[in-house]
Formats: sequence, C-alpha cells, structure tokens
Amino acid sequence: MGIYTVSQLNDHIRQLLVNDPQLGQIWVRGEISNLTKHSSGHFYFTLKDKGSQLNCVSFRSTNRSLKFDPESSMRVLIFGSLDVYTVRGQYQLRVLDMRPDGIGELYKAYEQLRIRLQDEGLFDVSRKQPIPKYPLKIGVATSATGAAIHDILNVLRRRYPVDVLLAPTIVQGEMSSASIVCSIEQLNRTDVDVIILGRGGGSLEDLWSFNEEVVARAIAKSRVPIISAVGHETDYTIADFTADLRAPTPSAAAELAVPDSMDLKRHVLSLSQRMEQAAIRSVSDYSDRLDYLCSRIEPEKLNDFLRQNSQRVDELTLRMERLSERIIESKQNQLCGLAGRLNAVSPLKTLERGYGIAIRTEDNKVIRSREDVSEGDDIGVIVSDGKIRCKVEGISDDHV
Amino acid sequence: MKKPEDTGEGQEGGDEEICDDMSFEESLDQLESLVDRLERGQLLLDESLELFEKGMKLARICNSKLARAERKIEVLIEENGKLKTDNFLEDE
Repeated sequence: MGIYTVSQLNDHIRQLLVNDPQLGQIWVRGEISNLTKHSSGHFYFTLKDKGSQLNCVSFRSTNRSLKFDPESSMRVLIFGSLDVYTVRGQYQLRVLDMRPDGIGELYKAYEQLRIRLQDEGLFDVSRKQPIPKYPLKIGVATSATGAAIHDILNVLRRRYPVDVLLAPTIVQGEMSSASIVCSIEQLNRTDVDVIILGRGGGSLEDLWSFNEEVVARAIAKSRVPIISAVGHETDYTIADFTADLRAPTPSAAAELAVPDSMDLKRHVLSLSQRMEQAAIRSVSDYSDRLDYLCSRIEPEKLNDFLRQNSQRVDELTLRMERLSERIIESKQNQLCGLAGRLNAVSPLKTLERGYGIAIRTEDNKVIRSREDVSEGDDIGVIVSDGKIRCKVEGISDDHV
Repeated sequence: MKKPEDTGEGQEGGDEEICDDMSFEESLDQLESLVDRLERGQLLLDESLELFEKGMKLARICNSKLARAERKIEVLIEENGKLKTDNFLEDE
C-alpha cells in the first residue's frame, strides 16, 4: 500500500461512491436548509433530518424543470446520485429531480405556482371564453374507466341530445400531467364545441397533476372552451382557476355544458302558444271590424233611402210636366194676341178696305208721288186679290 | 347565417330561409323574434298568417332537434400522429 496524495484519495473515494450500484440513483427525503440560489442558476443547500445532514447541489438543468420553487425549511423528496466534489473532499448529492414532500409542502408549492400564474394574468376573467349554449359535440378528458365518464354520460343522456368524444386520460400519478396536456391538444384538433376536463374526488396528492404548470398552460392555450371538474371538496386546483368555467364535480360540469331539454321544450311550447294567441287575436280583430262595418251598412236603410228618393223624383217629374203644359198654353195665348195685332196693321187689311199699292214696273218701287212716274210708263197696282197691269195715260195734281 | 335560396320557398325580402338543416339555436332565435313581431300587432292580415305558418315550421324544427334520440359516444385514439375515433362501450 502506497501513500495517497489527497487528490488521489479523494479520487479513489469518488470512484467508490460513483461506481456503487446501490448509490447510483437514489431517493432521499429531508429538509432543505442553508439554501443558496447562485446567479449561475445552480442551487446549493444542505439536506437534513433530525440527526444528520448532507450537502446537495442542484444544477441549472435540473432546476429549470422543477415544478416548484425550493425554499429553506421545505421538506422535499430528492432523486439524485452521489458524487464527490474532490476539490473540497466533500461528498454531495447531485439532484436530478426534486419534489415537495408531504401535504404541507405540496400546498406550499401549489401556493407558489398559483400566485405566479395569477400575477401573469392567467386566471383573469377577461381571458375566459364563453361556453356555447347549444353544443353539438362535447369533448371529455378523463379516465375511460373511472366514475367520472359514467356520471357525465348519465347527466347528458337525461338533459340534452349531444355527441360525446372521449379522450382517455390518466388522471393520477407520474404520467398524468403529460396525459392531460395531450388530451387537451388532441381534442383541440377535433370539432368539439366544449371540453370537460375532470376526475372524481381524491386527496391533494391524487389531484396533484391538476396543479401543475404544464396543465395550466395547456388549458390557457386551448381554443376550445374548457370546463374543469376536479372533484375536490373545498379547494380549487390551478386547473380550476385557469379553466373557462369551474364545476365542483363531473356531473355538475355536464349540467353546465348543456341546457335542459325539458326547459327548452316548455319554452318552445310557450312560444307556440303565444304565437297562436297572437295570430287568433289579429284575425279576430279584423273580423270584429268587419262585423261592425257590416252592421253600419244596413241594407234596409239603403232601400228605404232609394224608395223615398225615387218617389220624390216621380213627384218632381209630374210637377214639371204640368208646369210645361201651362207655359205652352200661355205662350200660345200670347202668340194669338200678337198675331191678331199683327193682322190689324197688316197692309193686306188695308187692301181689303179698297186701297191699292201702285208700283213702278221697271224697278218695283212703290209710287208715292206723281213725280215718280211719267206719261206712258208701265206700272202695276196691287189690290187685295192680285195685281193689275196699267199704263200712265196722264198725270194731274188733284185727286179727281 | 343566411342560406342560399331554396326553390319553391319564395319568402319575402329580408327573412331568412327555413331549412331542416338549421341549428337548434338558429331556429329558436328566429321563432322568438317572430313571436315578438306577431305580438306587437299592427300587421296586415296576410302578413300575420304568413308569420304564423313560418312559426309553426320553426317550432316543429326545434322540437325535432330536442327529441333527437340518437347520439354518438366515441373514444379518441391517436395513431401515427393521426386522430381516429372508435365507439365507446360503457362497461357496467
């Protein structure tokens, strides 16, 4: 056996530890203390229990994928491998994965994430999408064998006819968060109108995947509105905060997702009745108006009116005829009178009394004076019954 | 949503066509506004009767959608990056 140098000894010890199959990758439980978060992104702390402590280092690559923020005095479960930091001759546990240990720790981690996401605005009401009123197809992300899917189907069957597309999901354990994310993404590639994401009741540890950041991000990114239904008595999971709507149980989620067809049927019936009433009313309004107008027309009155007036017409006609007769009579009398007077002054009457009218033959001019004629002229004398042709034999200035 | 004119329906200007393809939501919305118009009154007699007839059609469509007995329950399966569906058998 030679004499080791310190480096050689440390190396040797390192080889021993690193190559021991039992110490290769181990789970260790303890409480964090003296935590330093280096600016490099690496964490350095001691992990202790009641009687002992252990140096730990958690490199940035591990820290990036931690689902919570380690703090001093937190109780944790660490998955890691032993190593020796030869420079200082210290063995240490290199953290490969770390998670909160125990309910208290889980709860603290939950609070950290909740506050961080809330500050980011992931839970804002303004981000929430409305749930469609009359969905045609519902996507369900839950276990294919649990009670949740049966409850949901029962409620849907009772309430409203709608198609269902189930994306079988692991709702508990290691694989759960990845499975949930996958189901949400798959359902977003289909034509479902709304997604119910849920599971039956359980402890905080059982529901843990619904508190993970990847699940929250997947819910926030979903184009399809999501109703979360993680059956937990009092507390909301982070999925509940992020979802567009939260239901206390899967059955309640189904009730929120669809309307009640009984209510709708009643509503349609009441609309039909109102419609009938309105139509009947408008027809009877018109028919009432028609009756009223008919009553005012009263054919008897019209006949009466016609009869009265035709009688009057007859009467007037009669009077008019009588008047015309009288007028004609009186005119005739007038005519006779005038005719008589005319006769009296007629030249013919004068001729009957013995007078004659002498006229010059050459121009038919009436002779009034002896100057109008000369001896030998032809003249005519008109007497009451004819005309005498004469010749002037002599003219004298007295009447004998 | 307006649908292309069907032959033979010939409704008057502005009103949408009634097809059996309408969604429940559309037919319910139309029925409600139709009943409002009828109740407001002041319509000509043949307008009233025409609306009534339309309303009966819409009510029939609504009721038949609600009475739909068949519904599909399917499971989503991913195969080679492609999504398929299969019938879901509820185990009792």
